[in-house]
Amino acid sequence: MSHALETLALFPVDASLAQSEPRADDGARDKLWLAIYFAKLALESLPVANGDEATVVTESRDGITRIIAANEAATGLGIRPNLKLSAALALSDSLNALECCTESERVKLEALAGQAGRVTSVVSLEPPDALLLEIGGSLKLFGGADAIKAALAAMFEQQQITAYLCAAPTALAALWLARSGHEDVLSRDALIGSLCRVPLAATGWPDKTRALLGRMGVRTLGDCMRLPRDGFARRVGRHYLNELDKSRGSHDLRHEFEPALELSVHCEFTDETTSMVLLVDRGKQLIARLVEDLCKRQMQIPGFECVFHHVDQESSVESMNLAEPTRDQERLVRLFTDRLEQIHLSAPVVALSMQAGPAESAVASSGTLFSDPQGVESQFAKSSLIERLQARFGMESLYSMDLVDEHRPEAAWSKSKQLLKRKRRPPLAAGAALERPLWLLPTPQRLPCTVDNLPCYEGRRPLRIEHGPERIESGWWDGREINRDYYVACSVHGEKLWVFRDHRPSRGWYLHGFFA
Amino acid sequence: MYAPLLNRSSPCIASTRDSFSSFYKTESYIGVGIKKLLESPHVWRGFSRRSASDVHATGFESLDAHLPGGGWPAAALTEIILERYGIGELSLLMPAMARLCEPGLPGSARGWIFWVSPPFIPYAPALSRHGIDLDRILLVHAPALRCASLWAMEQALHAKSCAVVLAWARVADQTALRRLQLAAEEARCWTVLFRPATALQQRTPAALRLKLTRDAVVTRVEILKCRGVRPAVVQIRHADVESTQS
Repeated sequence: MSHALETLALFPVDASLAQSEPRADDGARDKLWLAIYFAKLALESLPVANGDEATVVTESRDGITRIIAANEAATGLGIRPNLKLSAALALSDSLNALECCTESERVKLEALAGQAGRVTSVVSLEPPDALLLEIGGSLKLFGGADAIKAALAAMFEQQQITAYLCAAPTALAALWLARSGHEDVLSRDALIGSLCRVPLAATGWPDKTRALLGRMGVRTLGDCMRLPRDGFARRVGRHYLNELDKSRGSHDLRHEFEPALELSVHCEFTDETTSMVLLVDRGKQLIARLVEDLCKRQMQIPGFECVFHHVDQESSVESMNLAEPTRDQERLVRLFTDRLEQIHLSAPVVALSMQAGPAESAVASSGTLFSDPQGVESQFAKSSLIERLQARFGMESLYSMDLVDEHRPEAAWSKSKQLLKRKRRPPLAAGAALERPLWLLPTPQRLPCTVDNLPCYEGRRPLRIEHGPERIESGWWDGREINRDYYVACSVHGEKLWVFRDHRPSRGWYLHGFFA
Repeated sequence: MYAPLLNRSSPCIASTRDSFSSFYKTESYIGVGIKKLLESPHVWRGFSRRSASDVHATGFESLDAHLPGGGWPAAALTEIILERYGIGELSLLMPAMARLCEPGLPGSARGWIFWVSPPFIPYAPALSRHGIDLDRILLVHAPALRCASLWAMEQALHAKSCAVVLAWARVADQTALRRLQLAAEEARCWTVLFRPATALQQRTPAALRLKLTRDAVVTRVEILKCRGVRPAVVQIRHADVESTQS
């Protein structure tokens, strides 16, 4: 503490610059940042990193290839980061050297950011290898910074990822302290004292800057802070002065990490499989992960795509559609298992992945004060019924109906796919008062005729025409022209039929419906 | 598992139904075993008359008069046997269905009118003219597999989101029908299954079984099986059907 005050007293040398001395604004006072430093991300983001062989990741800079990360086996051989590759090869000739891949590092970091999102909604990426989480608001929920750290550490350990965690009142201080392996600093008073002992290497400033400061005999942040502000800004750079200020509590604006709206989960099988039990089991696990992701983001999906990967063939893709967006796990699982019963997989499956998106934000429906048994619940029952039927019989086989203002009988109605949110339509005027049969044949059925051109139905006896004709002549504009005389006829068995006589060249009698 | 005392063929219950009913209703008299037995869906109780809320009036007075409670059983399976299509089978149901579409009904009647594998297209303009709300229609064409239609029916009943389920099935075995009947009872849903004449050789667990025939201008409705009333034949004239349309 006394050390901290001492450094503070030493720092503002120039009176004119004292005004720009960082002041912590009141809103930032109760913030607490947790930095997660993934020391070996370059290595761990690559798929073959955790083998028993000595493996290193290298980076070429200024024509020299240096090692930036080494796995345990390589460390055991004495290979350390910053070593030249040639030197490392001298230590071990069976060294497995991989080139660093910034792209896969970035992807991995974003995935980790998504996972870290379970403790706080404010996650900021610090490429290439760190995350900053604002946990001030989550302390009460999770029971303190230690509990949050323990939860995250357990999660990273399970994935075999090396992570150093450190909490501090400012974002940059947390990051630098994490990189230097410092323990948590929870109060602002203790911050300066801890920062003073942080070596310059932990700042991640370029080598050139660090070398310049090194030549001045500056080794730690404390040494930096003792330098006059204007001189430091002129010689080293204003940017670095700003960083120092930010680490001590001046305004630090950060981009929040926003997880992608597309969700994707993937799972590999150890062997090719045709077992439905295994597929259902893994599918359930994937859906559980999907749902967890959705819950964290307060989002829901209108459906998802399920991809079954095969060895030599193109993957089979099945899309599962929901009647309305949801993140209900049970419903998604039922949809998946129902569909799995229906599909025939052409080959054994080696991997299963599910993609969903774009997700939309979940809107919670409000219940009613007085019980309405057919309200929200019935809407839910309706949509889950639709899903089950669609999953089993296909999207096309389920529909509702709409009227169309049209004189052609076959065009006077249409299938409607909008099953849940139906729009109110004004009643149609055309043909509302006309007598129409309850059953319509999908295609008119040709009827045989007697010698005096009367239609027959099921047998040789002609139909008795009850009334008609009603002439319908329409549709010349779209190529489906009709020119018919409709009659209501009665068969010998007593059925009331709707028949027409076609006036186009193909002439003849057709049955088009039943007055059932 | 019919209890001999409560069996439908038992003359004792059938003849003195009313005097027994009050007697049995006293809770103390009924032992635990009997109570359990009475709760079983397999036991049909002769004296349990349906109340008016359990039926949908058919819209045809002559038919109402022959059906217990005066209408279609609202929470049971009705089987309609047809030799051919287009003999007035839909018109017979239209008045009751139109009543279900009237605004201001309680929630349970606000569900879907669910058509499962109809043989032709139910023609929207005609349905609308009969007073059916097209927004409430849901139609599924199940593949012609043995039990696809029955599966769809059962799902619809379990979802409890339908006001009416109309289905067409060629074959249905005893067990499947039994399940449908129980599901319809539980969901309190008016369920109608149309079956061909070959089904007459089969016993039915349905609460009501009708056979329709057409004779010139008259649709003959034969009540083959109905809980609580005697079989009868009702004739519905074309004119009656048409007068309900307007």
